[in-house]
Amino acid sequence: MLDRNQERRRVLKVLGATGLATLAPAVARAKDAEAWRIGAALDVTGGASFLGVPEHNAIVLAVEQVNAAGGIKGRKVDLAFEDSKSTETDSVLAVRKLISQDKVSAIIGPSRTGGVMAVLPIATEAEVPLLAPVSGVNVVEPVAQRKWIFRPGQGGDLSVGKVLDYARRAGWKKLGILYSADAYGEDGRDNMRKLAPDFGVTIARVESFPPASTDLKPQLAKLSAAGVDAIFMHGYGAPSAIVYRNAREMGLKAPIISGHGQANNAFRNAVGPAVVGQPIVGAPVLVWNELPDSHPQKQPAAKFVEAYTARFGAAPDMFAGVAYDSAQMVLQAIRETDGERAQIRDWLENKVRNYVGVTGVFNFSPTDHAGLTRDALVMMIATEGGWRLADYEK
Amino acid sequence: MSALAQTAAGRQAVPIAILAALAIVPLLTRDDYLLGVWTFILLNIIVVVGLDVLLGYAGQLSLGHGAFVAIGAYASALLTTKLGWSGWAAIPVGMMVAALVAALIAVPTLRLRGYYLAMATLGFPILFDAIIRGGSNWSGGSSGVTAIPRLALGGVVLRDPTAYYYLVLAFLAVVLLLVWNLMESRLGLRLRAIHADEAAAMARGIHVVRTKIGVFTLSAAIAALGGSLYVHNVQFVAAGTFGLNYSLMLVVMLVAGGMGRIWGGVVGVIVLGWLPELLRDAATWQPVIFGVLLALIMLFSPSGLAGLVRRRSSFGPRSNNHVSDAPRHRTASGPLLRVSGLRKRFGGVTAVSDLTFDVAAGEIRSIIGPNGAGKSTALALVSGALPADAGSVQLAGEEFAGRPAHERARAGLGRTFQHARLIPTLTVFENIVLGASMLGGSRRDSEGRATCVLESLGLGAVAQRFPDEINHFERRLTEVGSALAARPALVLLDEPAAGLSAAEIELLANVLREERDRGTAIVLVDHIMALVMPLSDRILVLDSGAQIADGDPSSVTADARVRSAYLGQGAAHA
Amino acid sequence: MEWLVAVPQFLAGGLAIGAVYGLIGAGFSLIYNTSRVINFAQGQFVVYGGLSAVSLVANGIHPLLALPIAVLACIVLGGALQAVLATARRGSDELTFILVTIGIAIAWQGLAHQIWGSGYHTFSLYPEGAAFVLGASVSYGTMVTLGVTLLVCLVLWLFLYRTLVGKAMRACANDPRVALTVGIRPRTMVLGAYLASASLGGLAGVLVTPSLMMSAEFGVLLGIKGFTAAVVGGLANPFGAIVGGILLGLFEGLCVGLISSDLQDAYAFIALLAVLLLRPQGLFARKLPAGVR
Repeated sequence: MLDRNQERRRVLKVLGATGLATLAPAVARAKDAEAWRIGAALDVTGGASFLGVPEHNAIVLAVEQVNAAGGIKGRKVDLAFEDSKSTETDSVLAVRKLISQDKVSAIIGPSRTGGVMAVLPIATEAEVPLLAPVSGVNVVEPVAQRKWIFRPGQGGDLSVGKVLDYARRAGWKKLGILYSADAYGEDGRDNMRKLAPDFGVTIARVESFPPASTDLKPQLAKLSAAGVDAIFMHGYGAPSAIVYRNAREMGLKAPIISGHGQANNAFRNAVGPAVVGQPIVGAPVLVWNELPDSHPQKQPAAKFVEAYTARFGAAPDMFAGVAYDSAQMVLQAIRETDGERAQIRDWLENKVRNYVGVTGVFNFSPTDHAGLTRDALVMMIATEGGWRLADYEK
Repeated sequence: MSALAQTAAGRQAVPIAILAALAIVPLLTRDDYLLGVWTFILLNIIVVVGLDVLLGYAGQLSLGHGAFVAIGAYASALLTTKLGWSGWAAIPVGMMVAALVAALIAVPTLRLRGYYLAMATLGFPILFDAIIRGGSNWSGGSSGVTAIPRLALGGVVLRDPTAYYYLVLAFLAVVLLLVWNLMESRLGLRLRAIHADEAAAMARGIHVVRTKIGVFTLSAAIAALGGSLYVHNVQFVAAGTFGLNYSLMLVVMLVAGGMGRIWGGVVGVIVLGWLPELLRDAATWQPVIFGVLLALIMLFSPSGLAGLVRRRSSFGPRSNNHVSDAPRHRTASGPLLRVSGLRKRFGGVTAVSDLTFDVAAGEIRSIIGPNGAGKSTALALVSGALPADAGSVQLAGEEFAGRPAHERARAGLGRTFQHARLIPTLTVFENIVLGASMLGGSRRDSEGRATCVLESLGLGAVAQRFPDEINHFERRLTEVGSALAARPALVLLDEPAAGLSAAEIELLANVLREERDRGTAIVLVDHIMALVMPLSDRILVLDSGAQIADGDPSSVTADARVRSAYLGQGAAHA
Repeated sequence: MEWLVAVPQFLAGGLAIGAVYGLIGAGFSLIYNTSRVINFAQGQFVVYGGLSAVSLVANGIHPLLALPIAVLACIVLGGALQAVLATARRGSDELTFILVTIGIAIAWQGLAHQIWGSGYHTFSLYPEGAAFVLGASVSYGTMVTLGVTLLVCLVLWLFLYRTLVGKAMRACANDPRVALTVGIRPRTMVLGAYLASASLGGLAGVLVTPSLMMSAEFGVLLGIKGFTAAVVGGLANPFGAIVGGILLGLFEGLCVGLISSDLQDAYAFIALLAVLLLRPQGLFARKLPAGVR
């Protein structure tokens, strides 16, 4: 039996531990009071880190470039960054922190459609402009309820439109859809269903796969049995790589045409030779050296690729480009206004006209917070070493 | 301090202190973001408190608790967004759905124990996730449910973080006070008993399965409440929000803080809830730290932080104000217990064959025999701990063959075990109250009865001690007391004198004689003749499962078959 | 309904992963039978085995050499695990061991994330291509995996039922105290079981990574499915677990094909519940392992 002193000491120990824990979060970030502050909430860890890491790099690059050139109106630009860890809950926490603790003027991120959907009400309520490097259509529609949200990236509807146009040219009449069971995949499926009739294409069969699949032969077998001319694949991560290998092993005749989820280096390295010859929707930044000099994205993409590669030792991919464009837009907005949140928002909505970015030529308006057309996308064909521009584009 | 803990007001000290401390938080933090994190912490406290009841008190390894939080979250999300319900109305619906699902799942899975239960429960979040993703037409699928409206109080939308914090705190207060008082009541004793030793719990008349299901249901409903409050704050939920990782995190927080104390869970959530914040820069190390922490705690300090502080029992002896001491079934005519043709085989071995005997009220009957004679098995068959292959067991004329142990206990059949099966997490007094609580009545009644028994056994000095702090004899007496506190008509004692000194045997014998004089029937199994011979009215002798003699002490000792069974040929002592 | 002809494909899809489940399950069974511990960290051996092989190959080591080295690494992990568990206090109950192994599983998974990131990795081992068996495309990789697994199954059976050490292990499982009296050292047997389990897991990892890719994220789910395999086959029976795993893989493949792939992970769980409730001792064991009901 413990004596009273021992007992008391133990109680104090427990109280102490709890007390320390509660006081600890007074740890605040060191802030330069004079600097412009922009925020980024990206998935640098977790399942979407293949998106978040390049995006983060791109924004860091943009901020470094502007600070090296003397900042904006004499003041430096500070990047407040939070990891949204590829989950909705962490996306919410990250954005909340950026808004209320770091008091940023604008936020870029999160990296996934799911994360963006989660933070929409927060950014809207707090009236902070949010630029989301994702492709989900619901992110910016209905526009009336998305006043503070911009999506300067290739939308899922554009991507699908590109695929359908390619399909029409290739003479494909029946398509199958293979989509990943998450927000991104569902977006692709919904877009494809909606737009296919406009291009004279029918959807013969729809199959899905969970994000952690290891074998997609059952789905491919069913799609093949439905007699499709080609399979539209909309997903990302390992299963998307497995799809190609499975198809090759099964001797599948129908080509697999993929949405832009595959247009990144992580995928290309993982999938190996199985994808060679297959068409993939991509962005100018990936095949910039094949673009004609007159292409509006050639110069910006070349410069961006050079700077990024020099800084990070690897070439950037599609969404790094989007993140870079987002950062540049925000910085430009700060240059041309007083850097207040509402001002940045208004600038984005009204002043982004024929804005030439790495990704495409942007046109925001009160009714369009997506800003791009199908031309911002290019169809690529996977090659032994990477990708090349599809003949369709030439 | 013990005395304070036992007054009605003093019993509320812990939850009140916790709530008071939490109430001050918004006054100390002006930062909306930090307040948001604190709100998450409050929500997790609600869920963990519910989980503690299931995991800490009842010892049920439910590792997929996030699924119930998700049920509440989705119920609120879907009812408000798709059907336009008010958030307030959706909350109780979510809780009821979670409770229903828990009850349905509990029936099959709580029959499993240990690892199997743990693994089965790990599947709940996976199953829920699959259902949500599959039913994307109504569930929002992987995209989740967005634009969930906030709660509004009297026309005012609860948007202000401080206001929401206090709202959640109000719910937490209700949950905390409710659960705390339940766990400090006799229900808490029963849960701890189930956790420690289900067989002993059944012998105390506890309906183990029903209690487990009830606790599972309560725990799930509380979790659902947390989920509902979450979605009205964050305004978004998706399939993966409360998945496997979240469920395991809950367990880590509870274990680190200390299971089975309620306030331990609170401490655990507060301490570990801030860890991700503190580790923001080293965020990828978080699972490693959590995992190592969990392993270390379980290896070296399984009771967590709260284990550093001794639990103060809220049960204490009070003045004796109850009426009758009489055991039940006093008026039964004919034998109190009639056993006939009882048989049990284990594989090829017949442990007990054709056992037939009876016991009258106010009689002390002993069963003796050499090792392996089947004495303990016989007791187990009579008490219902072991199902018999054949035979009948009648108590006061009512047939009990085939009926479970807890029903027999409730009918008046008390029992102690060979190795004193006290509940190690309950004090001496609490063990006895546990026995008394089988009779129902108010808390005062149980405490009163228990006090009676406590004093008559001379255990007053050790009432607030735990079983590992008292000596062997005191443990034995406590167990006997626990059985006697339920005023059984008949009590079965399995080797009560084992390990006792001569003086202690004498004391025990006096206790048993007093019981007998009150009209209780006693069936005693033992080797120690110093206890058996002077005490018994009749003795039954078993050898290799069969009865070889039955009569008063002197005739049995003289019986030649008995002597040869014990000692071979030519016995000198008996 | 035209895709009914694809049923063999559905089944074939489950073969490779079924073999993995089986090897994991055998590991569960071995450890459980010698020490009554359910090792939640079992799935991690698969992850570490596969990813270590990836790293070794990426550093220029020939795949066939990388295999045994990776398995060896897992064996070391297995030994470490057993050492940690041995520090548990006497009289620790089931909950303690479950939570300790869960903690270790979470920690190892986090460590794997640190080392290899959360992406998917692979290396080349099998010849590219597939053959058509009964109308289903079965990759060479799957065939090798299955073949090796069945070989392991045979070896395991021979070891446990035909060698002295194996019989000693089984005796230990039955009753460690009695085993002690005939000169068998339970602690050695337990260590042996952990090492064997770890090597089975590691082997599964190196076999399956070239076909299906590996990620640090897979560990926990693989563990649960491997446990299901063990339960289906009968926890008391290691090579029954292997068969159980293959059956589970086939069942999963069939359900994914016939019903829907959305519920993919749920099928294993449903199978688990079904077996636990209807035939808890599994298909191949005769009696229930202790401490279940």
